[in-house]
Amino acid sequence: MNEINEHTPLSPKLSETLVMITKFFGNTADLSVMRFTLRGVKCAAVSVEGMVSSEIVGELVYKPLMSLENETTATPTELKKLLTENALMSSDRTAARTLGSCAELVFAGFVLVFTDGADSAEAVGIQGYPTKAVAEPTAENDLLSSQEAFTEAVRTNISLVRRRLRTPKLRFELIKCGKLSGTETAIAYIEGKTDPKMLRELKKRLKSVELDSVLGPAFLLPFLEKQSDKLLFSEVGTTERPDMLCADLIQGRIGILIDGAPFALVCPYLFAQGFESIDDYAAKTYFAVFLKFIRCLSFLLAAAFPGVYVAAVNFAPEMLNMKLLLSLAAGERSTMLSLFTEMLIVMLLLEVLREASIRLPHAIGTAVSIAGGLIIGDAAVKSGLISSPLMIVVGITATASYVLPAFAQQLSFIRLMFILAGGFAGFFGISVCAVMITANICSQSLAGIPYTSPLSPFRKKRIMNVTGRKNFAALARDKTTVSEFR
Amino acid sequence: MNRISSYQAAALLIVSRLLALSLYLPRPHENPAITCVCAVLLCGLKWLLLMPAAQLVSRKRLFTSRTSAAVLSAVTALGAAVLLIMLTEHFSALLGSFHPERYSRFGITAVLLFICAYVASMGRQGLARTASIILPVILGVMALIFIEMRGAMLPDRLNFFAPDPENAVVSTFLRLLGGSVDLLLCACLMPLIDCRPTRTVGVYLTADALMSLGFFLMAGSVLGSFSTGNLWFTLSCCTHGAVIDRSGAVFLAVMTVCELLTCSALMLITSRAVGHFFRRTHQSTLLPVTAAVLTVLMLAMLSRNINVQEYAEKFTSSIGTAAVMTMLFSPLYTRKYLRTNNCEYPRKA
Repeated sequence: MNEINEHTPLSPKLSETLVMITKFFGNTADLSVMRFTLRGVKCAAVSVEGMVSSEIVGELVYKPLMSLENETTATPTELKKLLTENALMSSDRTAARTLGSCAELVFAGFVLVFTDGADSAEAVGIQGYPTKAVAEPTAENDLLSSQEAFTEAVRTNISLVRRRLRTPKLRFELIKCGKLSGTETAIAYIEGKTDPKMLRELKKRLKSVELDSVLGPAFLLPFLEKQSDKLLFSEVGTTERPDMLCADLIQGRIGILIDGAPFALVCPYLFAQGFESIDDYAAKTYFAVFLKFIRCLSFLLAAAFPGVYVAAVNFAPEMLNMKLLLSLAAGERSTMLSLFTEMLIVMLLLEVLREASIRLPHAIGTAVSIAGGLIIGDAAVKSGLISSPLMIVVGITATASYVLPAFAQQLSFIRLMFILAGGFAGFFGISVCAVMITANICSQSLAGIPYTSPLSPFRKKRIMNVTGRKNFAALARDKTTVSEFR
Repeated sequence: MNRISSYQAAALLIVSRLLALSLYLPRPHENPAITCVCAVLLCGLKWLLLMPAAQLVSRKRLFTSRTSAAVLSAVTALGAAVLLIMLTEHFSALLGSFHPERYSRFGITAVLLFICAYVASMGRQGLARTASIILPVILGVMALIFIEMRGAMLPDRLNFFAPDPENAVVSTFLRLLGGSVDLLLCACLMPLIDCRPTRTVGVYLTADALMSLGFFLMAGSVLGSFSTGNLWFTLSCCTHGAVIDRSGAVFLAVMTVCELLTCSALMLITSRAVGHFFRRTHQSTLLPVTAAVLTVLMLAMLSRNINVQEYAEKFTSSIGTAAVMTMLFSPLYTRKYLRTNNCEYPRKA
């Protein structure tokens, strides 16, 4: 037999085809080959264990096949015609003509039915691999909206979005990413809302992915963003909520669903979106404005408060009024380390605790948080290792940082930068840090849409969505999409 | 399209003007009323120079030959570099003298230009957006401080008498013109504005007039006549607010932000002009090289105690005015060049 590869066509002889398939798959243990005879013609059903449901295969494939059996014999061509036209079996059907397409289909949960004398196989979709059920979101919790989150199966995620946007203009395009993994990736958009140029650019970038495997959103991010290493914030957002993705699609954004990841990528993602929540649309307008203010304040507290505190106490104590200054001085006098060192150590410990609480099992994680936060913190203050005012600052900072989960990574890094800048150079350092970070944020754009829109460039029509929320009557009149920020 | 909007350009110019106000060094016993009048006169002069230039830029393409473009690039690079050195040296000297125990003049000089190079590497759009986002924050902070300082402001302290008003007006006017880095910035930014550079000029000069009047009147009503020393930091010692006791650190933060944005804009102009002259466009190498060369030059001058402030006013006024005059007369040169070479005059669509 000549050397076989993915382009090798199937042989009309069943025995030859089965040998080729077994050889191509390397005699893998999970390959299942079921031989049978139907109307005097030799046939075989090939599948991969674990990718198909054996119960459903029996119900949807073998039972209909056996129902075709009667006393008469048929030629291979007649049997092939019977299989394709008379035995429905599944709505997801296609034909495989090469070894490569056989491999692709069988690993996607298809059963291949070969007949002796036919040079193609009938592929029937009977996906039955284990998947998680639709669960609650873990990081994007809201009170007054849907409690469904994406799952690891891309087809389930597609159905979650389709259920919410029952319009023929909602399109999904499937592409495969990863040379070895062949991960199914679905691009979701609404025809007429999405900028075609942006869509073309995105597809081009996805097709340029040269990785062997794509196992999650992080694998695709460097290909979607230019200069991703130099930028602090990401122009591609993630969401685990189908309702948030639908809201983004309606605004003309593009969603990317990846098989194996319970998140969707959204592009372009603007800075202002990190301050939004689906609950804003369930609350009154005045309360939504108030919530936006709270989130902006939380961002500033989480990013700059520790650094400003260190700068003020070390470099500009004249800023503070006398009572506050005396209280802070008394607190710092009793500790053995300098304020800057204390702040750095406590902030690093906070990151250690946060990382530990993510990695540990839930039952122990809560206990570790209590042990770390209360017992260690309390003991440290009582023993004079760190001061009480510092613990208050750290507590406020930690709480504020959990208000904005979209910026968790960036806030941790920026906070440390501000502490170092404030500790070494006071308010000069704080100003330098602020300008550098702001410049970094302002330099970003994806497909010509600046990351800081609609703040800069200023868009009067959309600024209300940043500072608060327009009422639904105004939103209904407002047909703007993200392309208008270009 | 790599252009900036008219409001973004105006924001950058307003920030540079705020820097000029914060770095302003008055003459001994300078009359604040005369300073206010001179500030408004300066705005008027800038209007006369910049508005026609803005009209020309928006209607006609400023076409020049390759040789003249090279000469222009070299002169622009030199002018912007000189201004950059002036500003950095003035800023580091001021910081070093007001807070000698906290900030070293040498240290600030060594790092400032590299920080500006990093900010400039974000591109003209990034820089313009940064200015447009930071400016409202700065103005808000200054407004709060203005409100906190109202207790210390006594209109009776304003003095309208000057022994030699003509000379005082001329010298104050020249000092104010000497701090106008924004002239060169405006001349360099105008061709990069997306549409209506006249709007940029209008907004920026109106803000300039209001800020200058407000600042000098406030300083005059708090301090009386100006003595020697920097007004900005002197005013900061007079604040006594409810939340922040002394706002010196806030004044320092505002001045630092303005300094960084203005110097980053000048750094960008310098490196691009150098790039045009040598026909190299890789900003990733030009910016750090420009920063390194200028830093070494400044440290060398610092080590030899060369005081550039003596020449600052003359240089800044002449560079800024020359830049604007070049823009004004460029179409005349273009007409002559095209007539000589029998070419059609290029008009904007």
